[in-house]
Amino acid sequence: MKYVFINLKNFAVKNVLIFILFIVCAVTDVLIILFSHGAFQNFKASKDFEKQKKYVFNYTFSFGDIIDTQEDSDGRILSYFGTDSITPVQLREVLDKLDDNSKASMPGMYFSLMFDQDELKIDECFDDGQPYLMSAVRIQYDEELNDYSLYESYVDNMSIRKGRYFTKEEYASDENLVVLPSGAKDDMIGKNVELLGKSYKVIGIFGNTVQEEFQVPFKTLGDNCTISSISFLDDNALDTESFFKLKKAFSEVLTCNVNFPPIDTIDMTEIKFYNSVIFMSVAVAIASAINLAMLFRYIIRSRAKQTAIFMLCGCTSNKIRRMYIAEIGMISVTIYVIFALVFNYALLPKLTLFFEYIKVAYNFRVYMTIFGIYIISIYLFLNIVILFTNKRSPVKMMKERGK
Amino acid sequence: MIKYGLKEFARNIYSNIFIAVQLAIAFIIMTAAVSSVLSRIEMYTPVKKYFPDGKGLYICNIYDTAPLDSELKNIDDVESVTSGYDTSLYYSPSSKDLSNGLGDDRMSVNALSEDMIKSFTPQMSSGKWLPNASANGDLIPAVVTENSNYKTGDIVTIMHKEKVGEMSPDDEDFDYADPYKYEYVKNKVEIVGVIADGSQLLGFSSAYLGTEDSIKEKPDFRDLYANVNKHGNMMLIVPTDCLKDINCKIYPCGNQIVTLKDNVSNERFKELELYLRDYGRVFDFEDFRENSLVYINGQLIKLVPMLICVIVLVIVSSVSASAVNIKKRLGDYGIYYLCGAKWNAYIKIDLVCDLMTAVMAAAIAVCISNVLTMSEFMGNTVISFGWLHLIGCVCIVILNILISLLIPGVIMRRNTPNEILMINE
Repeated sequence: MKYVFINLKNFAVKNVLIFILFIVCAVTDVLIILFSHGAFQNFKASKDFEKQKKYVFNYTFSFGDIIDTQEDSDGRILSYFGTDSITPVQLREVLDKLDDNSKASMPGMYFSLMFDQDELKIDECFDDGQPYLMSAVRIQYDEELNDYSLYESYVDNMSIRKGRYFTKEEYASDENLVVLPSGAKDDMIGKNVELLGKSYKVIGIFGNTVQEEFQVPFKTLGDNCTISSISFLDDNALDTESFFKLKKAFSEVLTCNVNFPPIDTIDMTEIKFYNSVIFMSVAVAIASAINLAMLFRYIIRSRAKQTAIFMLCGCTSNKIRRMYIAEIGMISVTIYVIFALVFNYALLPKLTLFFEYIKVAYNFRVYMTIFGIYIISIYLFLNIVILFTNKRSPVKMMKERGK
Repeated sequence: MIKYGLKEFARNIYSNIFIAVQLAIAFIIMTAAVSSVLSRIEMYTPVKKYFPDGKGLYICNIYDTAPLDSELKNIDDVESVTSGYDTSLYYSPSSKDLSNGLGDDRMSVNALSEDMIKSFTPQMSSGKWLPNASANGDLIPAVVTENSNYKTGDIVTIMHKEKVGEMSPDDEDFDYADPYKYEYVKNKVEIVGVIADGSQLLGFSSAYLGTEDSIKEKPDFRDLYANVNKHGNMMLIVPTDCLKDINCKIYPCGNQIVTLKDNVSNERFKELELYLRDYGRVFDFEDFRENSLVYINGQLIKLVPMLICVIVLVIVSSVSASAVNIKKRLGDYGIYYLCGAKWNAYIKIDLVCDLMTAVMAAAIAVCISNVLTMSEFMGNTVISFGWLHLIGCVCIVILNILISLLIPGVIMRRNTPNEILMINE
């Protein structure tokens, strides 16, 4: 350890230019590496924001001629109301035309079903007479099942008084299962009821909050009910590509108009710009690392004579390696700690004026991660250079004139 | 001296490779930086001329273009109206020769004025843009947006109705609202190019490409462009000049730039602005220019810290590379001096060595760029290469050379050759 401090002192006194250069380069590189991380995260966040597109929760699209529109407080059109309707069979045909990636990237859907109430005669299920029955479907693409299944947020908040709700496998299947509204008799569980021309097995009864709605798996619905409008759910954002594919799928299956509310397109120029700046921030970090590596290499190789003398006096290669690593490591760690603090308290507040997301990119863990990568890289690189340098004999090293 | 420069380069090949790699990355960063700056202004520059200092109005989110078009024609104070055009020509995205006539999928042909065509060239996935194409006999040159049916070289039939006379009230299809006889006339267009997916297209708004205009509070120059999307509505675009011999109608479509005559008073200007609000959202040229410049400056300011970083990195790495190199070379220069070369000889030797390093760096940069291009990374960025990028890279080389000449010059002038040789021992 004594020799580490002696070497440092000699380095600073006898090789002033290189020592100052090393300090300046190390400071610049630390600041550049820290900045490039923040710039990378900032532009990545900007890019993700641009790409993510619209959260289209409650956007409703309809069919046929437009008879009314619904707008939000900013005047943005949320939905069109139309004169026509489609069947669940047609909707399934539309969804089958989409590829799995589009389905996975699209938000889920919600729609109410319109029935002929005569198809829903199940008085025997209720003590106090059958209420006006209605049904709704909430579906979300499940990547494990590669199919549309339960909308998880709804399931998490739903109450069941008796029995159980569907599993996601059951809901994605065409099993004839039904969950009845809260007024149904408790002993209906496990029994079959005739609904919509089919026999459904009762598996559950809703809690008191659901008094008129029954639910069956989406795939069991046939042509004897209709859908007049479909709303998007809030589980995902709608990107332009999926939006266009959905529109195209509808136009191929249906003969009537499909009235989609307006959404913004992704501006590809912005995405490309963000990609360019992200690339620049990575390249700048790499260039800084190479700059430092070059200096380290020079410092090690310029001490060839000194290393040879140490070896001739009995110092092992391993001790020399540890000595140089300790010396450069001490300077590097000190510089990193000091200038990470300078960056965080002096530069970062100024940078937030230019980059809106940069501040959230930094926390103690991030600084420690960058420090870890920095130190490990220095350690590995120094080991490689020292290994190659000390491979030569002390005589050869003595003959070199600082090359 | 050139020989000694080459020898110096070869003798320090490993450190020169290090420096060349660093310089190559600096070239790539500079190219990316210049491309990023240019990308912020490259869409504004072509349209700047449409918003001169005089009076004018920008009309967007137009409710119905037909009444606005006829209204603008009746206003004497209007000097010109600039926009893309819709026409009464039709084609079918699914049938090139219209052998079964126009079906329900008919789409109207769009047109652009010669001025707009020359102002901005979109990215083409194949073929060429309109001003670079010439009419091939009777074939009208056209471009299409990226789609699954039409390719460069295809000949497409377009059709329009021409009035050939008046119908008599006794005729079977007589319509009081439209008592004319029409004949369908066919013409042919040749697809000379396909506009790439994701490219910007000047003259049409987003509504034309399958999504509605979003209501932007402060429109700027970006609203004059639409983003081409291969999943959206296909477009077939022809030059308006080629439609002179075809008796078809053309109508302005999308957002419109209305330039007023110089002699329009401020009161009249205000009156027109308020009046035209019945047809859409209206902004005057000054507001539009200001919004555009605010956006551009906001974007460029974001690049300033990055550019400062690049410059600092280039300077620091040049200084460190030069200092490291000169420590090695000083001894050699001392020996050269003893053998008869003057101190100034080091300039030539150093220059040759640095130029060789710069050439190696350029070769490495080209290799890296080719690898990135092959991996399709470059296609997802705005990085390109042109004269400005070359000037930027040359500035880096000059800076590098100047620093590498300056430092040894300072050391050698302060010391005798003997002292230099002693330092190097």
